[in-house]
Amino acid sequence: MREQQLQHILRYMPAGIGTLLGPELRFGFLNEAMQNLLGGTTPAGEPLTAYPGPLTTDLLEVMKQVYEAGRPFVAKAYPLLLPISEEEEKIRHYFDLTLEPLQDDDDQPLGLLVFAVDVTAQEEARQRAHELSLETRRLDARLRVLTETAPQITFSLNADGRFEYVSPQWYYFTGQPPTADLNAIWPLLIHPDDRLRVLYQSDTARTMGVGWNYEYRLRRHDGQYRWMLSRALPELHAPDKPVSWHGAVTEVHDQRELSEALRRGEAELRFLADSIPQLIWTASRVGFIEYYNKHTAEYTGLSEQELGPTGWIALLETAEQAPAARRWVQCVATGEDFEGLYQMRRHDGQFRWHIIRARQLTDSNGPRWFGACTDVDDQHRLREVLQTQYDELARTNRDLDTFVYTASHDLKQPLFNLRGLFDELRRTATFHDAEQDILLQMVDEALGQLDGTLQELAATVQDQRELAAPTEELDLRSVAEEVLLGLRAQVQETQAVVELDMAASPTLLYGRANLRSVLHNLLSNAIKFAHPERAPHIVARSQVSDTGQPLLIVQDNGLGMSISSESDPMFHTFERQHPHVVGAGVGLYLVQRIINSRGGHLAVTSTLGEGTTFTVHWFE
Amino acid sequence: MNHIVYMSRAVRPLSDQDLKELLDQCRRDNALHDVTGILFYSHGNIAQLIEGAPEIIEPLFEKISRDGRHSHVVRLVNKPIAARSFPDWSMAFHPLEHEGFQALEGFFLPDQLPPTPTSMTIADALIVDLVRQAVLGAPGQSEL
Ligand SMILES: Cc1cc2nc3c(=O)[nH]c(=O)nc-3n(C[C@H](O)[C@H](O)[C@H](O)COP(=O)(O)O)c2cc1C
Repeated sequence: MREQQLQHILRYMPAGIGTLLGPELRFGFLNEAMQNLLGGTTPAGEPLTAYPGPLTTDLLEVMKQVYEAGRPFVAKAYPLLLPISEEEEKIRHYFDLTLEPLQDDDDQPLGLLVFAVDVTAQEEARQRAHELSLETRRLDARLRVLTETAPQITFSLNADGRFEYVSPQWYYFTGQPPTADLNAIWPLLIHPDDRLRVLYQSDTARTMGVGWNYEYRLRRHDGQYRWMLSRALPELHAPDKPVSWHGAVTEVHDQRELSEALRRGEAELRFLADSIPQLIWTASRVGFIEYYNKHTAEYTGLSEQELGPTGWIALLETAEQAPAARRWVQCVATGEDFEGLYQMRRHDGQFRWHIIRARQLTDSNGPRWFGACTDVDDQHRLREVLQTQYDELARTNRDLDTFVYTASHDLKQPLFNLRGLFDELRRTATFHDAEQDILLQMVDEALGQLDGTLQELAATVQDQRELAAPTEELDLRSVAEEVLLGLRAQVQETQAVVELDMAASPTLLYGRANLRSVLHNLLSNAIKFAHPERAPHIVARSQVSDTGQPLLIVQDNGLGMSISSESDPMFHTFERQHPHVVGAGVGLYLVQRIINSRGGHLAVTSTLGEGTTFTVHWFE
Repeated sequence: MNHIVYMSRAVRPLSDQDLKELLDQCRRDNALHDVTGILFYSHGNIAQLIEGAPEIIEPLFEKISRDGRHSHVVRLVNKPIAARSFPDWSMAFHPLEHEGFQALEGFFLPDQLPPTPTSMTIADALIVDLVRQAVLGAPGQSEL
């Protein structure tokens, strides 16, 4: 019964058990697992070698030797290809095979007890672990190469903040020997001004279980302190607290110096802008003021906050605000310069003139507006004063002209009356004086002179007003004839002969009144300055100069004169040399003024006692 | 009475539907709190003016600036004003689909936008004109 139970247990055991008997190792008891292992064909009493199943020859050999030597042997993780049948796919299985010699009481060999445990799962796991460890070693090597060649120091800290690893770059950078005590030395290499901050920040980050990111100066092997960026992240093993931190330290000295220089540059510019007694500001690309200099606050009495992004517009004279705002919007849209003259309110309420200029410039931060308001109030006021004075002078001048004109006009009537009275007196009264005739003649002459002067004065003022008259294409001959018609009395009185020769250049683009005035004065002068011994012969001729410009030549055979100096104004010469000829100077003065005002000039040649030639260069 | 003006960038382009919903929600909530103003939107650029009691619009601005639909919120002004310049709350943007927007209350096509109210000081009107130009482009600049 017990025997039967034992057999039952052995049969269904998950390990293979079997006996092989005699030197031929014939099949004895084989449980099911062992039968399967041996390929299922195990006829009792037959030798194993006849049905070896998956067993290899060297295993059969070992079995024989165990039988003969009587010493047990264990083959660990022995591979067998199962099952052996042709149809199914063979899979490698691993077994721990225990070979135990069976002996009789006299220690004579009986057979072998074979015990097989399937260890395939364990073996596969072991092999996987082995492959994994190989892969890990490979990755590890790669990581090491990377961490040790990258231009940064990498490190790992444990939960207590002690260094567990630091890449060799740390030693290269700091020049410390490989034996250096990292935890003791690293803090000492941090710049004294940064040390406390760094220790505090990393300590805080560690207690809070977060990473960090800060910059500090670290002493290099040559003793120089260089700016470094330290970043680290915690390695979390949730839900526990971080177990370690991994990070890198990168040198950022040059970048930092550069941005420091930029900051300094900006600060220097601001300092300059703040020191200038001008209103300076910068505005964003879209037109909002971001910075006003100090002087702006001083001038306006308003803070940057109070001014706001468009506050400058409120400082302008009310009527100027809307057009200035429109222009600014337009400039921002197009990028055109902004420029204008505006009155800006000072803190005390006084408005002062400013030139406001702004220009869009583009730097690395994109386009920005730079503006300046220059106080030009003093210049502007000076200009205003000058303008007022000028206007006043011009008005006075006009008033004088009017006065002279009206005076000459107003005096004409009394003069006319005076002459009438005088003629009446001469006709009716008798004078008891021997020199009465001379006296009468002198009064007559004086009256005549007065009349002439008045006429000339009136004409001068009249013509002066017409200086700016519009020009038209004029026929020289017909204008000259008109003028001669006006001089008919004088021509007849002196029996003057006047020749007009305008064929060379018959027309002239000029103001009609001006041309008449010039012709009138030149022709009437020629008659006035006639030689007492001969009738005047006057030639007026048009010509074209070498440079193609029109000329007018008026030549007479009159008194002539000596022309001493070029600089002496011509009419003075005439006046002085011929004091008996009334009003001649005024007329010539007028001619010269007209011609000069049109961009021309008057030239004269003369021979005393023979005659004078005037040449009008209408245009230069 | 204060007004606040800010500019910002949409985190991702807002669709017509997004804008319509925003318009509806804002018109409802703002009417409730007596908040008026205008919002400009185009191609992810946003500018907004809100007017109302400071104790209402300051927290509202805080809320809006934390809204995840936009970022880079830059406040240009927050200052007292004499009176409201916007009768209600409206929005101006270039819709992708024109149809259906014409009938929406409180919505303007940029080229139909009334001129900046003359009730504002010229300095304040200039702010509105500049943000509007920054978002919608210069007037006459055609919309692609
Ligand atoms: C560009 C923009 C403008 C907004 N303007 C307003 C506004 O004027 N009024 C308002 O109530 N909400 C406005 N909102 C929405 C608010 O940010 C918020 O989502 C809304 O008030 C709902 O808030 P609640 O969830 O607390 O009710 C705006 C959102 C964005 C993105």
